[in-house]
Amino acid sequence: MGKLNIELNDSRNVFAPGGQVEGRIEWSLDANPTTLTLSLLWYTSGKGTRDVGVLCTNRIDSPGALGSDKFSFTLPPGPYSFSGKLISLIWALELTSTPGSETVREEIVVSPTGREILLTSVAGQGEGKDNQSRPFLECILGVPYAGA
Amino acid sequence: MRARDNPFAADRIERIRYRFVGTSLDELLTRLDDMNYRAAITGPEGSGKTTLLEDLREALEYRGLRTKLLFVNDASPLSEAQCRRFLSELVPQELVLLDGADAIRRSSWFLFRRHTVRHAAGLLVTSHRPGLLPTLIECTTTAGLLQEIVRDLSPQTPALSPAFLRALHNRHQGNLRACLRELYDVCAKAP
Amino acid sequence: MRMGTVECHGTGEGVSKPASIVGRLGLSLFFLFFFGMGSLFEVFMLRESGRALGQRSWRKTPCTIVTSEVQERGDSESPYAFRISYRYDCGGKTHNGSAYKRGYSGSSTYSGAQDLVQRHPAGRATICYVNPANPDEAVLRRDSVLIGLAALFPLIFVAIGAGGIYFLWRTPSPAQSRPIAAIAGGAKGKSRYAVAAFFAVFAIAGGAMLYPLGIRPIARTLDATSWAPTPCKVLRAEVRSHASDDGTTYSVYILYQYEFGGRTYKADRCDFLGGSSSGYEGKARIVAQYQAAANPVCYVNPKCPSEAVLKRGFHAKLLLALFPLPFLLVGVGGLVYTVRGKGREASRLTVLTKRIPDRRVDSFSVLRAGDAGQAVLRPRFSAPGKLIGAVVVAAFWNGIIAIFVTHAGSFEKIFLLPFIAIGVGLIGLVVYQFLALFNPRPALELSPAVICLGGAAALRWSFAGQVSRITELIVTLRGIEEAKYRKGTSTCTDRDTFCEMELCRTSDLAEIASGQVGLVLPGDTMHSFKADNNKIVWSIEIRGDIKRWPDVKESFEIEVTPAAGRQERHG
Repeated sequence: MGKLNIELNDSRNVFAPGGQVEGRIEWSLDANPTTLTLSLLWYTSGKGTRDVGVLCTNRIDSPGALGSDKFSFTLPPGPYSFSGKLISLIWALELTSTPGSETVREEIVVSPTGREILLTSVAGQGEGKDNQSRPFLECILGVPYAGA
Repeated sequence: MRARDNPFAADRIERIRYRFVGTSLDELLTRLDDMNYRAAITGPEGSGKTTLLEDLREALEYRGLRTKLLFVNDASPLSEAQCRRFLSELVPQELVLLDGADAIRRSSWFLFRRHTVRHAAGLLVTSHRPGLLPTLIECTTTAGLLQEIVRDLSPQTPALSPAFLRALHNRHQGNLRACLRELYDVCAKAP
Repeated sequence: MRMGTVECHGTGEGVSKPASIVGRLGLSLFFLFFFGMGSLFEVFMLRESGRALGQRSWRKTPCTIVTSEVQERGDSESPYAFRISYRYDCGGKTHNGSAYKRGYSGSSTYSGAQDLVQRHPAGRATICYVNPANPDEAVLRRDSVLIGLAALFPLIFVAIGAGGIYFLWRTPSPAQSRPIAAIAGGAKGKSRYAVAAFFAVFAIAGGAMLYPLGIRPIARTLDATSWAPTPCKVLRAEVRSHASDDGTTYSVYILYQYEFGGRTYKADRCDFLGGSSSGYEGKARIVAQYQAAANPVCYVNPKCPSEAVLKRGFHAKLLLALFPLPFLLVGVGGLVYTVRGKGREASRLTVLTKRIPDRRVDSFSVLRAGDAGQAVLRPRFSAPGKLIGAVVVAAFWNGIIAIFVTHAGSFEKIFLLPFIAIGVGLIGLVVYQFLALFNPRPALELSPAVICLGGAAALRWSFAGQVSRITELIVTLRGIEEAKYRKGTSTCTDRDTFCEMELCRTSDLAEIASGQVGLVLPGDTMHSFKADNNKIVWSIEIRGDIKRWPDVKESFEIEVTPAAGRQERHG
C-alpha cells in the first residue's frame, strides 16, 4: 500500500502570519505516479458550505515511486486560523498523487497569538459582558473617551 | 464547542452516504441497466436524492461508464442557451446525471430528454415528483434512519435521545437535512 | 473529504408552505375565496357572452324611426329613459319595435339619454336587428361580443384559487417547496410566471382605472377650455344619495337648460368626473350655490351643442387621477423587474466531471495593514430605500385585500380579518419607516479607514437634522460570523455575534450632535474575512433613542485587517 508523508521542520505546526513553512515530503507508492502535488491551502468547516482557498501549489512531475523532497512556503498575512460557533478556518498542507487517490493532509495553525483564534458567541456570554468592553477603550491620540 | 468539532458540521454531513433499506447499490445498478439508463430518483426535500445520485455516479464510473453531472436548483434555472451548450458538448458514451430536473424549464427538459436519447448513454435525474422519467427509486426517510445517522456522527451526545430525534424528524416532516442543521445548533450550544 | 467541490447555488429564497394543518386550512380558505368569486364572475360573464353571441344571428333589417325622445320617470336610479319607436317589415308583415337594446334600463343623467336621442332622431332610416325566431322582437343595437374577452378576466382569480389549493395540498410533505411570488425580488424559475401574473393583475387594474379616472376627464377638461360660456337656467338642483353595502354616498345633480344656435338644450353634466362619494355637507353647499345663483353659466361644446358642462378647468376632484398610479407603478414595475431578472442571473452552470480538487483562488478580503487616511462610512441600507421597500410590500398586499373587502359581504369579511390585520401591520411599517425618514441622519468618519487588529482608530460622528430629539446615543462595535448554506432549493445565512463592544453611551446633547471616540481593536480576535459562503463582518452600529418615535438605527461595515507587521516566533 502506498504511503505519503509530510513532515514539518522541528515538528512545528504553529506559524505566525508571514512566516515560513518548511519541511519535507516523502512518498513510497506501489506504482509510479505521474504527478505529486503539494498545496498550501485553507478551508472552512462548520455550518456553512465549505470554502477553500489555495495559496500555492508545488508540482513534481514523474517523481518515481519512491522519493522525498523539501518544500518552503511563505504564509500570507491572513486569514488566521480561527474557530467560532458557525465557522472554523483551518490551514493545511495537502499532498496528492495523480493518478490514484492517495492523499495526505497536515494541519497547521496560522495565528499571531500562537494558537487558533477562538471566537465565543456573545449570546453565550453572561455577566461581565459590559466589563469586557472597557479594557479596549483607551484615550489615544488625544481623543477623550466620550462615555459614561 | 468549536465549529470544526461540531459533529453536524456541513462537511461531515456531506460525507454521509445513502443508506439503503430493502435494496442495495448493486441491485439499483442492475435495475438502472434494465431501464436502459433512463430513470428518475424521486423523493421529498432532504430525503437523500443528491447523495444517492453521487453514490451512483461513483459506482458507474468505477464500472467504466463516463458520466457528466449537472446540478441545477430552483433559484437558478438552466437557461435554454446553457442547456444547448451543455448538450452540444456531450459525447455519446456519456451518461448524463441531472440533479434537479424539476427545476429546469419545460422547454429545456424536453430538449434534454430528446437529445439524450440519441446523443448520450442515458439520462438519470433527481426530482421531487415522479413522472419525468420512470422511477428508479423513491427516497424516503424514517426516524430510525435519523437515529442511525446521528449515532454515527455523534455517538457520545446523550442529549440526543431517540424520543428527541423522533420529535425532530416529525417536526421537519422527514427532511433529514433540516434535522441535521438543527442538531448543529443544539450541539453548538454545548460547551 | 471532498474538497474544492464546486456546487451550484441559488441566491433566491423559496417560500415554504405552512407546516401546520391550521395554516394550510387558513390559506385554503383564502384561495377558496379567490376560486369562488372568480367562478361566480366567470359564470355570469359566460352567460352574457352566450347571449351576445346568440344575438349575432338576428337579421339585419332596414327600419324607420317614428319617435325619439327623453322621458323622465320616478326611478331615482335611472330617472331618464331614451324612448324610441320604429317600424320595419319582416316576412311580409309590418312590425313596430320599441327596444333600443336588450336590458336597457335608462340613464341616471339627462345627457346620457339626450345623447341617444341625438343619434337616433325621429324620421331617420336606420338598421334594426330582428329575432328570426320571433319577428316581433327587434333591437336597434346588439350586445357587444367583446364581453367574451372580459370573460377571460375572472379566470385569473379561478386559476389563482385552484392553483393555490392544488399546490398547497399536492404532496404529503409540505417541505417540498416551490418558490412562489418573491416580492420585488425577482422570482426565479417557473414561479416567474406566477409572479408576472400577479403583477399583470395590478397593471391591468391600474390601467383600467386610469382611463375613466384620469385620462378621459383630463382630456375632456383640456378640450373644454375652448367651449363657449353660455348663460343657463337651473331647472333642478339636488343632492342624490346612493345606498351600497359600504354605506351611503352622495352626488350633486343639477339639470339645466340653455340656448345655443337658436335651439334649446337640456344637460345635467356638472364636471367630467361624475361619481359619488361620502360627505353630504360639501355637496349640499354646491347645490345651494346653484339654486341661489342669479346668472349661472355653463360651457357648451360648439362642435356638439348638446354637450355642455357646468365646471370646467382643473379642480381638486381631478386629483383622483393619481389613485390608479400606485397600482400601475407596482404592476408595471414588478413586471419589468420580473422579466429583467432573467438577464441579471449569473450563469450558474456547473459541471462536475471528475473527483479532483477544485483549485479555487483565494477569495478573502483584500488585506492592507492599516490604511492611512479617513473613510466616510455609509450605512448598509438607506432610509428612503427601506421606506420604498415597505411601501411596495404594503401597497401590493393591501391592494389585493381591498378588492376582496370591497366586494365581500359582512359575513365574508370575517374570513378576511387575518389578512386585514397583516395589511394594517404593513401600513404601520410604512408609517414607521416614513417617520424614520425625518430622523436625524448620522455621518461617520473613521480614521484610519482600515484598522488592523490590535490597532487604534478614531471614530467621529455628527448628526444632520433635529438632534435634540435623541435622548441617548449608543455606539457599538460588533463582530459577526456569517455562514451560508443550502436549504433545499433556497439559501440561508446564519449569523452569530462574537464581539460586541460598546464604544460610547451618552445623553449629553452636545456629544450626541457631534462626538468622537477612540477605539483599540482587540488583538486576539479575527479580522474581516469574506469567502463565498463564510464571512467575518465587522460593523459600527449607531442607535439613537427617540421617545415616542422610531429610533435612529444604522449599521456601518468597516474593514479590519490582520495585525500589521507582527511576526512572533511560536512553536
